[in-house]
Amino acid sequence: MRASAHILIQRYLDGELSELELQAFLQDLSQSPELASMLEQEVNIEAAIINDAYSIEPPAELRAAVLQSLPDVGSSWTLSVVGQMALSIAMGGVFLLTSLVSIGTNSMRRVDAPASKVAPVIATSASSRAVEHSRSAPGRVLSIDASIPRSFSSRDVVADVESADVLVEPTRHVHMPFETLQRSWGEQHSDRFLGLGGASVSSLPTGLFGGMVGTSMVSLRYELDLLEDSQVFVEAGGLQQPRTSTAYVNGATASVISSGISPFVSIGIAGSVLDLDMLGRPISGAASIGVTSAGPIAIADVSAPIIDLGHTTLDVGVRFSARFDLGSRSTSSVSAAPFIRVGIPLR
Amino acid sequence: MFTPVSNCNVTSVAGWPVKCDVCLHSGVYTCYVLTPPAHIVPTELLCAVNNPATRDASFAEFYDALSRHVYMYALRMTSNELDASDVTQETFIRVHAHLVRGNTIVDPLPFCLMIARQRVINMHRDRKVTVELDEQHSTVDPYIDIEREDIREHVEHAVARLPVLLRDAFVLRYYDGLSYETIATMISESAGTVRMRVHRAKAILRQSLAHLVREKS
Repeated sequence: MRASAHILIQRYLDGELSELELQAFLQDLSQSPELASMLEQEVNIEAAIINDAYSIEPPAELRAAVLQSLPDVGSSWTLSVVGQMALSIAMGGVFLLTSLVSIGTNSMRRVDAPASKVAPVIATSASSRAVEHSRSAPGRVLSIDASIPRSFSSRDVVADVESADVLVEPTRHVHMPFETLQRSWGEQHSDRFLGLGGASVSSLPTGLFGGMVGTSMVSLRYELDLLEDSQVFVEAGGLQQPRTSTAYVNGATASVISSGISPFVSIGIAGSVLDLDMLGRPISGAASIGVTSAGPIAIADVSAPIIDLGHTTLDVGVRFSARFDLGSRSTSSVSAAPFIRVGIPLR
Repeated sequence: MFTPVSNCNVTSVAGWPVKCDVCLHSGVYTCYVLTPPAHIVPTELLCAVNNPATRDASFAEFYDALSRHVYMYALRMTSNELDASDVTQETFIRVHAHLVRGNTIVDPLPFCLMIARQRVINMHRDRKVTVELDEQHSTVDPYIDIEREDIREHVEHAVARLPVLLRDAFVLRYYDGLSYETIATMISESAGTVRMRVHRAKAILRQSLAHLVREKS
């Protein structure tokens, strides 16, 4: 009886009695001194507890301690949306500028010879031996302008040939696979500048330096020709993805989608996955695993070149990423986003 | 004899039970308004905290709005002011980190208390001093309580002697003012289980504080 009365009193104090129950309870209350005494007892206990709650205050010095222990705003990796866009545009611009500078640098070195002595010609024959021959010939330098190898397909290639002693080499038809040309070019120009920010990269092994800009990421990738048909690469940059977090809303969980940019670094392998002769362009693929500031990430992308300048390529593709957030509540997200990549071979 | 009335004028209680004039003159006790301290976080403040641009500027205000409840919970669960301060500090650092990672908070008090609760659980586990007493073992020594003059100390002592599971639900309910359903979501139990724990905790407190209640009566 007393137990059920206490439950009833508790429900009354919590305001959980229905109208009918309330009427019955009040009726009992007015007729039963024992129930009224129990109610008074219960009220006194609750009041004592709440009185205790009101008496508790956190120490004043705790406030300063908490606020001082928060990380500085400057160390935060989270940028505003405008900041993220500005960063993406700026880095994309740097990559494009770098590739243009590298082309310009190559061209400017060739200007040492009088312009009138430079004879642009249409190549009519193709042979990698031409390069070898020229290289071995004393006093002669073969320079392939960045604008020359517009294509590595079966089309003819426009080539500028010059010599340091103003001798004009015969017309050459450079018709070779990209890798061969890249190697040949690299062998001759190993001491030349290519790279970001003017740093010498001659000490780096042969590889492809790439900058990637997408709708949700910006990164740098360095590919190494360590394997026969594929490349091992290291990539680092910033990644923006929608993130789903969980919050409590009136006692129920609710998913909240937000976004932020996180640094990431990954390592993976890239190679040609499909070579469509009819399009004349290989489709490359890459897969990598890495970590972001929030947790592990797996990335895969496919891309194809839309502009191919020989030692500088412009690829477009789609990148898929699966990201795991090991924050206060573990979440995961999968996304796909297009990207543009500028690739510059080193040496 | 009690005669319940519905036109009670009392809207808040900031101390020991008070009665409204109408009810006092009528000898009615049912008009006690038993509300724990308010924990209102204005919508504007919540939006400001969730916005990365204004997050750091508004975090101090956010702390002011919720720190009392977090500290209250931590203090009653640890019975130690230093531990309670540590729990409170770590809770708000984690909340800030949660926001820095780009997440948002919708219902701040349960969210903060959930983090504080996890820290309290870890603290109990790490120290390995948790002696889980069932309620029948929580004996009451009336002489100790009689010695204490301060009612608050009686309550504090009685709450501290509650078994951890019961105390957890009880503090969240009576000190932080959360609903049974919200507590159930927080601790991954059913609302009925939470209700039962609170009920059992109150039964123990009823025994512990019986002499006080009789005195007040």
